[in-house]
Amino acid sequence: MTEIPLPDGAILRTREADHESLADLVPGQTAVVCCVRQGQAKRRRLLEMGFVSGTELRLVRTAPLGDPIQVEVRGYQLSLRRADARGILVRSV
Amino acid sequence: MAQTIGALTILAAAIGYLAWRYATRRATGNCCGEPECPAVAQMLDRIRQNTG
Amino acid sequence: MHVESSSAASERTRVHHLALAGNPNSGKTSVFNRLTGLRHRIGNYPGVTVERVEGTVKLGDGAEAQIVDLPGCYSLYSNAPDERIARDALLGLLPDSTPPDAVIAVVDASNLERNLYFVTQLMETGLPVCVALNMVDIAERHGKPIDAALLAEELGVPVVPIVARSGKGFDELRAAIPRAKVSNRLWRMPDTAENAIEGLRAAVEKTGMVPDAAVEGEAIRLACHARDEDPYLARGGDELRVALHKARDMLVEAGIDREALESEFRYALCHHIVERVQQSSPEGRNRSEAVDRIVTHPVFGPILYLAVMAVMFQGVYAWAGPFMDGIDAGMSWLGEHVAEMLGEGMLTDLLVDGVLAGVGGILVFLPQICLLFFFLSLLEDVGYMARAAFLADRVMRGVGLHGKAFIPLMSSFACAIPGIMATRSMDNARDRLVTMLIAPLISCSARLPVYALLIAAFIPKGYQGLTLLSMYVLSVLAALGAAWVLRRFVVRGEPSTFLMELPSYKVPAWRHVFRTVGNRGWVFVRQAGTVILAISIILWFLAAFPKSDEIAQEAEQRIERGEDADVVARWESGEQLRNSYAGKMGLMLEPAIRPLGFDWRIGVGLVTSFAAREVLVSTLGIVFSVGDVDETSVALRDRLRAAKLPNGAKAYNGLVAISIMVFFVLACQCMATLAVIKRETNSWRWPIFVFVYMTALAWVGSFIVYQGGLALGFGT
Repeated sequence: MTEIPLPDGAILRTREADHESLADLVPGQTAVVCCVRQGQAKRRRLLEMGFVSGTELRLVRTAPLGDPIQVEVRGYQLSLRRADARGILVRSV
Repeated sequence: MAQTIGALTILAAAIGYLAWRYATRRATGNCCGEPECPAVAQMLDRIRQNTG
Repeated sequence: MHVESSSAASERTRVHHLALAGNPNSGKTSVFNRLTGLRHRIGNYPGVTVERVEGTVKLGDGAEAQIVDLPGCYSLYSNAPDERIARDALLGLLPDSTPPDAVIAVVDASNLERNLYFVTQLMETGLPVCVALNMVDIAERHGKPIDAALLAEELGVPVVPIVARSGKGFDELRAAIPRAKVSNRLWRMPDTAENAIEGLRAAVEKTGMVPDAAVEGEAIRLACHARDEDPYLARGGDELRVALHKARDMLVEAGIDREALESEFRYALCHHIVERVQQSSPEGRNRSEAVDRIVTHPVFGPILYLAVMAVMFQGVYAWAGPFMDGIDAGMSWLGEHVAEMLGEGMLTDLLVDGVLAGVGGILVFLPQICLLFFFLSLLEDVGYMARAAFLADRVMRGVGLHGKAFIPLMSSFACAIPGIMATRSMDNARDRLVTMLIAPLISCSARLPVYALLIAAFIPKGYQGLTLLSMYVLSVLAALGAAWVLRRFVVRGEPSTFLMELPSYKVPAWRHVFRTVGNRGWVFVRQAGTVILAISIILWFLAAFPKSDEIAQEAEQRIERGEDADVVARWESGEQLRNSYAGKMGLMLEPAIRPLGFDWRIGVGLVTSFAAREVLVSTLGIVFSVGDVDETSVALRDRLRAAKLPNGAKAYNGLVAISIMVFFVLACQCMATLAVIKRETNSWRWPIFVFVYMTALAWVGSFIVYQGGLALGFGT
């Protein structure tokens, strides 16, 4: 059991197995979002763009040098940096 | 004689035109960047389109 | 003022002020343009560099309304400046604007879920909403058609399917706008959360900061997202703060993650709606995906990119050829005619050697300019640019550039000025500054005639496209290098996020593409007919006077002594030219540019090209026309090739040509660009800095190329 602190002292509890990040996926792999662990502003933005818990997403491809990566989420294509993707924890399916 | 007068008139007009452009701050050179440049307006439109 | 239809039971909103809102990339701008036609103007919101676009639109019932195009938003409750302005505008909180009577929400049908997220937020402002469901053709093509009527039912507002690119559905849209409706919040949070918000809701209502209908939305926003510095908290006073903290405490007690609260429930709602109204094809993959597999492939992607660029440049050369010859021929015909009609004299010389040589010299490049813009416009229209940005991001970040700098820098290939203005979309001030400082290094379209002329004159046919491409590659490398250096000199800021949507590929809107080409072509011609014309006239005078009697006498004496008449004539005109005002200017500059392989004639060109880079071509045209006795060929490129030094040797060759081109790649010769930089940075420091560093870079670059080339044995 791992505890992830959230603002205002709330705590998000998740199971060990969930700690894969979006950046760890292989192109073509599908996964479900567990939670977003980022600074407040980035987190908010990612949530607004659809990276809410339980969202299904697919890593489409990575750019030639591995960065940025292209993700399909909620029916559209988004490109984001590997560093930001590391903060998106997922559970692969 | 007529030729010389003609040529000098044109010269005066050319200098006057550039002076006028400078005075009205349209910068000697391209019209780029000024509000009336249609290409800039279009380009900005495009950029607006791509960033929202 | 409109006529109420007595039979229809529908509620009508009296519409005088409209707002247009939607996600970025939803086609909102196209919708705005179609609704307003040419009747719109651009201004600024006070205090920020966000653009304010307003216009007039004719509605279905004949009435007219003012419409404001709000900045594109992903969420109304975010803290980004664009989104804050949009929210303020909608709630009527901006200092000098009226709140809208209704909102038109533009939705990208091929991206429904995320777009609906924003629409549901719009609905919570309590304003009447009408949804314009755009890009329905793309959704159909992807096998995901939407039942608009069902969507309207789910949302409780009118939904009109449209295709902004082609104009379909706009009559229905205009008719539907007066029927915009207010809708209630469609989602409920768990009871614990609702209870927590209740107290806050009452407090917000008491402050009266927002219209009553928007109170609920505002309460949710404050509870979930507001930061301590939020302006509404400050205005709301202590009571509001207390209520807010109470609400948040309740949420924490209930174990609710307040930041994710709104997003989770809102997306759950949107997902539910989408499942009901949109079919999803089991295949899932669409054409864009297939294309992208190649376009952004790790190996093929960059190769394709280079291939596209190579085709573009070779094409600009090869396909423009016949047209250019045509213009050349036209110019010489005109020259002969004028000479015949007017006979001899100063005016004729002015017209033929000044105007035609100068302006004609530049007009000849119109076909190439048009082709270049055709390609750029086409690539952008199709959606390739976003992929190119994706490929380029890693490289750009390697030198310290931000991903958002891509579009401004790409725009600079046409003209650096819109590119520099486009940096307004960059929020990080340091990133923005660096981008502005390197934009002039990107080879703008004004440099093209310079490259084109020199390449046509001195580079063998097979290598022409390649050389042109090299110049552009050099400019990009220089820009990246400069960025890297500047990033160390200008103190590092934080690395920022790079989230970019990759919109689906679109079939090009040819009308738009050709309109762009026409526009740019016209600007080019107009420039030639005004500023360049004026400069050519003045320049001719500078090159033709003063005429020295001594030189004329000397020439006569030489002929009497039996020297060859042609040789003497050539010598005489050369000397007269050196003696003229223009010649003296060039001679003054010569010592500084000799090491670069330039002579005083190029020197004159360098001085004049400060007004506009293309003027180099006109200047050379005049200088070589006035000093030219041999009239067998009118084409400037031939005359350049044949140009000789006083001692009879050839004045220029391929190496010199490349040296000149390198100079033009790196030098800053556009006063207008410096003026815009000053305007955007609000100081003289930066334009001066740009001028100095680029001039130094240009000189050094040319030096290395020329001296290096000599050392390696090129060019005699």
